[in-house]
Amino acid sequence: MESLFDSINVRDLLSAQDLSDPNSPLSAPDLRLLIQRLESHSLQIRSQVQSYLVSHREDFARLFSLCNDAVSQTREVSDDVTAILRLLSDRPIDAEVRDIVSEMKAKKEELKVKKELLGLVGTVVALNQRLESVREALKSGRFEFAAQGLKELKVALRIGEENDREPLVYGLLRKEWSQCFEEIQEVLMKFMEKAVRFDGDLNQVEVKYHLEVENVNGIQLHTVVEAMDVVGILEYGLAKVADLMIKYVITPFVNHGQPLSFLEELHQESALLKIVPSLDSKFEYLDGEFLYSRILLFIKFIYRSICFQKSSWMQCFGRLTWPRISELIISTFLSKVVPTDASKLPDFQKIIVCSSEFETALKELMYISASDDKDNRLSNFAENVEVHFAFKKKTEILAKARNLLLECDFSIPQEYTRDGSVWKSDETSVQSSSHVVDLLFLSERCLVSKAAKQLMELVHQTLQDVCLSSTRVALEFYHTARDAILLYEVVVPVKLERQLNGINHVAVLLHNDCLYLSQEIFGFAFEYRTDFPSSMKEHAVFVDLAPRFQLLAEEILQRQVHLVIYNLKEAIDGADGFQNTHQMKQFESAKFSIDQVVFILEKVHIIWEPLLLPSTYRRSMCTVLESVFSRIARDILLLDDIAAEETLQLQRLIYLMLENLLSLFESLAPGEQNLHEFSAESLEDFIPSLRKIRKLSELLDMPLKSITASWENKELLSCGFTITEVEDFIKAIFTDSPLRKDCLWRIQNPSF
Amino acid sequence: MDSSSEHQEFDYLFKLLMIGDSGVGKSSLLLSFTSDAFEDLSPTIGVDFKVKYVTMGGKKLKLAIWDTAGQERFRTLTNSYYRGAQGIIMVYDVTRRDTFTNLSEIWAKEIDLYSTNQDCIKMLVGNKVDKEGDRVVTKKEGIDFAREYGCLFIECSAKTRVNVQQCFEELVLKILDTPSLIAEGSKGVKKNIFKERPPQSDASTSSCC
Repeated sequence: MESLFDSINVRDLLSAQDLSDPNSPLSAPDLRLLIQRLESHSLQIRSQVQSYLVSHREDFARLFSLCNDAVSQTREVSDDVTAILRLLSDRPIDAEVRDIVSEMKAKKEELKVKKELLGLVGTVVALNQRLESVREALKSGRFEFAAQGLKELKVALRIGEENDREPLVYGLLRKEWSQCFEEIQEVLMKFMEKAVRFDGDLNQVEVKYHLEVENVNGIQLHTVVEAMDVVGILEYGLAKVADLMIKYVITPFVNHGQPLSFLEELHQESALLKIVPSLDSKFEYLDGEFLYSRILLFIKFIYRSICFQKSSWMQCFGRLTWPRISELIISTFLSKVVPTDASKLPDFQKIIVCSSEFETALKELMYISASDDKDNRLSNFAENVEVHFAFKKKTEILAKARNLLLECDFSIPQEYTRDGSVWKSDETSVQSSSHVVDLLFLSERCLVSKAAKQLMELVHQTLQDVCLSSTRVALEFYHTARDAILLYEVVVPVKLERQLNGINHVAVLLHNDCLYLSQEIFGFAFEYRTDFPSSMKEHAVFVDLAPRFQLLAEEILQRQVHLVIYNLKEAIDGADGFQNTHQMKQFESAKFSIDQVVFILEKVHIIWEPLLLPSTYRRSMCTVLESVFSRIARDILLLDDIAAEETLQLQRLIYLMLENLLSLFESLAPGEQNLHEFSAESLEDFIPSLRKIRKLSELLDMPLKSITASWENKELLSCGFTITEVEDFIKAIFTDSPLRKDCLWRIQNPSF
Repeated sequence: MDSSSEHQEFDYLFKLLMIGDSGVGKSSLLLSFTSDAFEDLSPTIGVDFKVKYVTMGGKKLKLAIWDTAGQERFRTLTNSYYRGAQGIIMVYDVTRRDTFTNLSEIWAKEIDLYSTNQDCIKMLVGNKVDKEGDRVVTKKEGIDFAREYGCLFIECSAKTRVNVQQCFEELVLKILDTPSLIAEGSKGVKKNIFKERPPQSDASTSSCC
């Protein structure tokens, strides 16, 4: 049988020569051969199978017999199971059991529903009975019982927590409750109206402790208030009392023209608060003590007679009245005693202390909250008054400073500009003058604008207030003083911008202002620091301000100097380098330029000398003169050809200029030095070019040998001439000759 | 009168002064005269100097007009201001009587004191005649002062430019008619330096020539 399991390879059935090529197609003869061989192979297989079956005949017979037995056994089991199932399904008792259980379940559910309904009815009946008892209590005057009942019913009926799915009967019950609530509210309010009354004729408040209304007898005020608290209408009840007290007691008390006071009378059945004229009329409201003590008396009356010393009731009354009472105190008292002068702030400190103590007493009575700072209305206002005062004062000071600066015209009275030496040396004039000040760090007096002087007076006054004030106010004033000073720095240069671009008195005056301000500011620390509040001693700073004004002063002055020099150089330009002055027209132009120079210098002299400090005037004028003389000397020395007549004309021009500047030179003499002792050499030390140009005028008609000798003995060198200038000068004046060559050689080869 | 386009060429240089109280209108008068259709050919130095080139009487003139703006309060003006001036214009305000009286009280005395040119031409000018309703100085008073003081007289208005040109023209023409002023304008300073410092006689100087 192995051949049955072998796979048939078709190739094996074909001829041997065709196996090498699997892709070759089969021919018709091959196909017929293949069919024949397959049929033959099939017959062989059939024959083998038949032989196998025949040889194993007995084995197959036993196998078939075994299968037959298994089937028979299975059938028997199936018959047994069917019989059992039939037995089970045919019994009727099981169905009956199911029916019984279902019935039991339905009955239980019915029972549950009925129990619930019964409970609801019980609840409704109970609530209704409770409502009835409340109504009875109201009628019989047992208000605390009625109030308590209403409170409990409110919870039971979920007043305010209505549910849409609840039974309709609850709405009816709530309506009943509301009617009871309104009824008790009305009754209690009537009691309160009778309990606390204001008698206009006697001007007093009467509190009755024992109350009778209609057919109800013997109700106590304490009971009424407690009932209101339980029901939740305490605030409403006390509000009426509060309004009455504010209207008839507090407002007249604080607004009355003459001082009022309170007189308390306590009895078994009532309490009286009488409003009487005060016997202490002399004290008025100076420090608030009288006002606060009387209001405290009133609060204590409420505490004892109406709130029965119960803190929660007192808090309620406080919430209703304190905002109004505190506002009245602020508007009628505190606002009016706000100081307008820093020196009175210490007095106001006493009022701050009284206000704080008053509020502390109110806290002890539970009238205002001990933990909530919002209730410290008086202290908050009193503390803020300090800051508000400082702010108001600051605004006032800065407005005043601004007006000073804007309204000042920075003009100078004639007596100060005609002859400056008078006010500079006259000691008595400082008392009457509004323009002359003594400088702190210089032994000189200075002419300043009215604005600067008055501004500094304002700043000094402010700093004195700093010394007298509390720390918070002092800090505001300190910043105010600094701001006022800075205001000058930002306002005045802009205001005088046009003047600062010209040569005039205003610019010089502004320079003096800044010099004065810087020195005063430097002195602030020494003058006030020891008296400042201790916390400010280390923080108050002024040294940053002083240098700014010092720099500003110097800047203004330098600007003036530059303007003058610019004008002078423009005038000198008109001389066209002093060329060809031996010709009449050129000489006239040069002379005109010299005239302009002299005039400009005289004008500056007239403006500066009376106003500037002597040392400043000398320094600035010497700077200007040095610029002029060096320029003119340079122009002349640059001439490359000078005719004989030209030397004389140039010399005349220099003499003309120097002669006309004599009065100017005299003004540059130091004050302590006698005029006769003042020598030309002293002035030339400050103006080197003056020495040079004087020497130049001599050189213009000096023989060649003398010029050479002046150079050899170093005289020309000490006058500021350079070797190149001397050589060019000689070449310009003297014609070429053996003598000139010799002199130039000697100059170029000095023996010294 | 024409303004010359060549600012460098001129026949004469005349120095004119304007004096008078503050606020009489000297600067306005000066500006009214010097500002015309032609551009200023000389740089202005503040308001103290105004230079104007004019052609008058066949001569090219350079007028240097000096204004005392801002300095009226100093009655002690220096010599340099008055020195060498050929013409002086004294200005007053016809609506302010004190400016007229101050001319004789103050300004005329200063001219006598400081002017180095005894022959200088003076002209009295009454300004602001456009405010006829506010006039407090009559024309007759001006004429009388001018006759007494020996100077020219004219009334004008810097605002409306009435008589402004005539004012300066009359002055300049008068200067041109005065030979001593013309000579000074041409020669400059009279002073002779040689008299003060005799030249040294030296061989080098001779060889230089």
